[in-house]
Amino acid sequence: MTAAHRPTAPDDDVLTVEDLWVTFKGGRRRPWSARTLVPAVSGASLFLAQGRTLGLVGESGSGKTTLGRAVLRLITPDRGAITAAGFQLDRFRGGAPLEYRRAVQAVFQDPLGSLDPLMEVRQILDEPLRIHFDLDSRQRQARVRELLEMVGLSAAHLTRYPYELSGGQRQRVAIAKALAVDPRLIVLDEPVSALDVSVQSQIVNLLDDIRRDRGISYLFIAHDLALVRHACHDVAVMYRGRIMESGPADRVCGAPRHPYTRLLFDAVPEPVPRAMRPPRPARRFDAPLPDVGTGPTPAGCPFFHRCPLRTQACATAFPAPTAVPGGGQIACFAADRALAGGPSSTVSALSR
Amino acid sequence: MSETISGTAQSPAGRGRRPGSGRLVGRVLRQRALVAWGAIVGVIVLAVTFAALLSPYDPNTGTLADSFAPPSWEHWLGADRNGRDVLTRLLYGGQVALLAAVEAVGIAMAVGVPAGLVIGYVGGWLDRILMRLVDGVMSVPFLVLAIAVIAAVGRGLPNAMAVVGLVYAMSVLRLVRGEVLAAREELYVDGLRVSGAGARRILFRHILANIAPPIIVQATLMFATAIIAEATLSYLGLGVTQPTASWGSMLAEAQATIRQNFFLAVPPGMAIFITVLGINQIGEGMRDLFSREITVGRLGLNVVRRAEPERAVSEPVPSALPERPVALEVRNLSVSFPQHGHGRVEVVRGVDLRLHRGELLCLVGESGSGKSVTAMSMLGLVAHPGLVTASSIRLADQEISGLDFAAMRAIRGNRIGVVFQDPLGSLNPTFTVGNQVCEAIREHRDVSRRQARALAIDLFDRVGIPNPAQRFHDYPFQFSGGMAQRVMIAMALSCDPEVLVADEPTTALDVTVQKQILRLLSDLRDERGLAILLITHDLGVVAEVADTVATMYAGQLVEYGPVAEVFAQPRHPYTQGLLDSVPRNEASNGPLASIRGVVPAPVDWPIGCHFADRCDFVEEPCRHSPVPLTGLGESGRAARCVRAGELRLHGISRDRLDTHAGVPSAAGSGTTP
Repeated sequence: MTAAHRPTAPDDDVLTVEDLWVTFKGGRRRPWSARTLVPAVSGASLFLAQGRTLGLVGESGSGKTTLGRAVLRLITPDRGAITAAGFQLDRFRGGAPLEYRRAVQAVFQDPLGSLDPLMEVRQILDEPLRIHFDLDSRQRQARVRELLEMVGLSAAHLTRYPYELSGGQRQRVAIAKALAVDPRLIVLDEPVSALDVSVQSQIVNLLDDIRRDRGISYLFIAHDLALVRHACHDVAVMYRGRIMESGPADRVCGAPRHPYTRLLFDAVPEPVPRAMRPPRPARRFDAPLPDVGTGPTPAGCPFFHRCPLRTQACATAFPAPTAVPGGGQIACFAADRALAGGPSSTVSALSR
Repeated sequence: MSETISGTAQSPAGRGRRPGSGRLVGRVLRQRALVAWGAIVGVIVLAVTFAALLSPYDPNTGTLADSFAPPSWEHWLGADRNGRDVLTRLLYGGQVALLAAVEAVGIAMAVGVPAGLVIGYVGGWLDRILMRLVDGVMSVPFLVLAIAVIAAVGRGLPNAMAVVGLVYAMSVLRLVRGEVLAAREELYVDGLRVSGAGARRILFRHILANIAPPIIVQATLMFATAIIAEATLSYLGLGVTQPTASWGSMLAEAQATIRQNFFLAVPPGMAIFITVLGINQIGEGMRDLFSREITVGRLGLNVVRRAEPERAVSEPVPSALPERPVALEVRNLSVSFPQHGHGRVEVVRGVDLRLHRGELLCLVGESGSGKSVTAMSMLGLVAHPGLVTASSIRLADQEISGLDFAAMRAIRGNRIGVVFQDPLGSLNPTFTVGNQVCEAIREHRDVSRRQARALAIDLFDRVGIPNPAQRFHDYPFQFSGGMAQRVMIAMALSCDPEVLVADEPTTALDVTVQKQILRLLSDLRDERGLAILLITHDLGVVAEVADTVATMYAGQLVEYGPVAEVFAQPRHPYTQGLLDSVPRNEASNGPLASIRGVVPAPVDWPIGCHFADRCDFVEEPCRHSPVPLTGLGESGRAARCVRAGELRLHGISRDRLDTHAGVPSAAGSGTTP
């Protein structure tokens, strides 16, 4: 598989994922048959440079969270190489070493679930300091206060339990906990999806400030496409374990090329009432798809069954990424046709 | 104990309440039964412990002259055949019972908890082999095991209770393993692993503390059964040896002389009964104590009461669609919940809403704004301690406030359909979806099974479920989220309602599926003239489908009007703040706008404008007195803002208008919480 979209020089990479495959064991079809294998990530490749943010977007079941968990070494992939913050993950025996935990941290979607409910904020922030550093209790206390300040909380929050905080405050605590070890890379798994819009932007702005100040890199996993454009430098779009399109955020979100990405972006509701929108050609979602005389196979493109541009080749193989003008790549056999339409003709290309 | 207070209506954040042990004591004291039974058991334990101080007699020797003495001043509970004081023997027997139970439960915990923790966490082959072993041990009655062990190592209560302890250890192991398996999947455990915490720290510091409540309850209940086990063993002669007193051996002696003296069986019997009952009650009380507290915003059944005319009813809001007939009109709706230390706290205050036939009204707001509670309260679906009042709720021509449960039930599902956020959670997993839709139809309509089936399949077709006749026989797990939501909509439509209330119907769905569901809702509105009240936090959804929009903030309606006009030029700074916060698919320039601060908790609502503390346009008059929702005279718009007439807000337009002299040019972008 050829390399994915790489916006910067290789020496700057803080995370590289190459040809990653993860499968989960499913149930048995019949009591005597072997357990089914459910592919979660199929040959994904990513690059993320120091100090940048890479957005990983997709619908539920796209494998984006699984990819993040593989980077965090919470699961072991079947195949593929991950190098993060200078560590080659396939060299680890069992769990990740403490040095890796210091370099790569995470913030999860549900801040209430991701913090131990029985611990006060100060205990939550104290714990990573105890695990990783040889500090006396006064030094740790000072550091905990410093961390709280960094995320816009005050000493008044020290003795609160997670359930006594608002969603945004909880997520600030989770961010402070990740920052406690001064990591180089943070995997943000839907960090603002559970929050209200007004709070969402506070957290996104905070994350951006922290990244700028400390030169951290983020792998930003999300399903909100418009948010990703604001929060990320680069974006990779996943669908059923495959990376369909990647590139600079403005190009991918502003002029999506892959038919799946277009469908996805077309479905995002903008807060502009219908009456105020620029006129668009009528949308036709139920337009008949071309009959190419063959059905989908597991090795083929996962978007085959919904794709208006499908060809016979799409059913049996997944295409290698091809570069697109404006930066980035798409994985599509119909790339030439997909490229033909600009952003404004998205819909017409789909209904053609 | 991991209690959550759902954010729907009450956020406990803020206000310097000291967490920790003080609150736990407070909660214990509120459980009166727990306190009472704790006191009874405490007295028993104290009396038993200090038996030697309380009684002048020796438990094992008596004078024959007192044989079968009836209760008297010397012998409060009489004396047995050997003239021994029954009360004294009862107290010393209690020592045996408590020590035996401590031994059994101690062994059970010492063996079961660590083994369960390790097996549950490590899993794999170790788990499978050991669990089969546990199953084997648990399938043998403990009495048989006890007899076998006594035959092997000799008589004596400690040996017998050790066997009991080992058998109990198996059930503790099972419980702990199950709890660990569940806890291992919790997100905080992943968080700890990412922090670099080792298995030992995760298991003993975090998981053990979090699963302690069920283990403590189990240990308490086990203590009670251990007392019975001791009595059983001693009764059968497998426990204490003569002449030592034990409740079981006293029963055995009483049985031997039951023809001479019936009363002797009563004291040990009552001792066992009261002690075991008391300990069980304590266990139950602790279970309640540890279980999550009742949350506001959870659904329940509750009627809407007619409001007393104490509060002045505001002027009716102008109608945005005056030419259409009104489908649902709500006047002065309030919801309050009791909150510890604050009396009754209003979470929704004086809401007026009007919904016309063929209108889709979106109710928007942040969590904590009261939008869900508002909708659910109109339907009588607010959980028990909540109190719902309204001056009037009219469904077309019928007044439905003040109706009783039965009457509301006939209306819900019949004239008003409801769709919830989590479609798969709202369907019963053990029945086919067809079965459930048919049941809903037959509940409200007098049709045969076959007719109901035909109607259901027709509805499935109408909401866009492919192959409706086949999908009819599928179970909920065979449906994707989007298809399950279609089933829920079909069910809500089954009785041809006039009004559909949909509470965040697309929040759990992917955008591509969301689009299809929104399309379905707007088609239903257009084709059947259905009036839809859609609750959402997503302004993109509002723009996509709404005719009219009502913004809620901190329990009040703050703005209302046709969606295009409200979005083009809002009249309330909160609506503007929400619009600014929505990330748009546009090239990014600078930080995202946000509204500073958070929605205040209901107990902290100010007298004046609820939004004042977060508003960039606040002035002195805003804080003085409650701000009414005022009609703006133009095509049915209204806003609850002192400055609604003078502010010129820019709405969704990206070029911000000059608001007016001396005021910041846009709603805030502060970042402090």
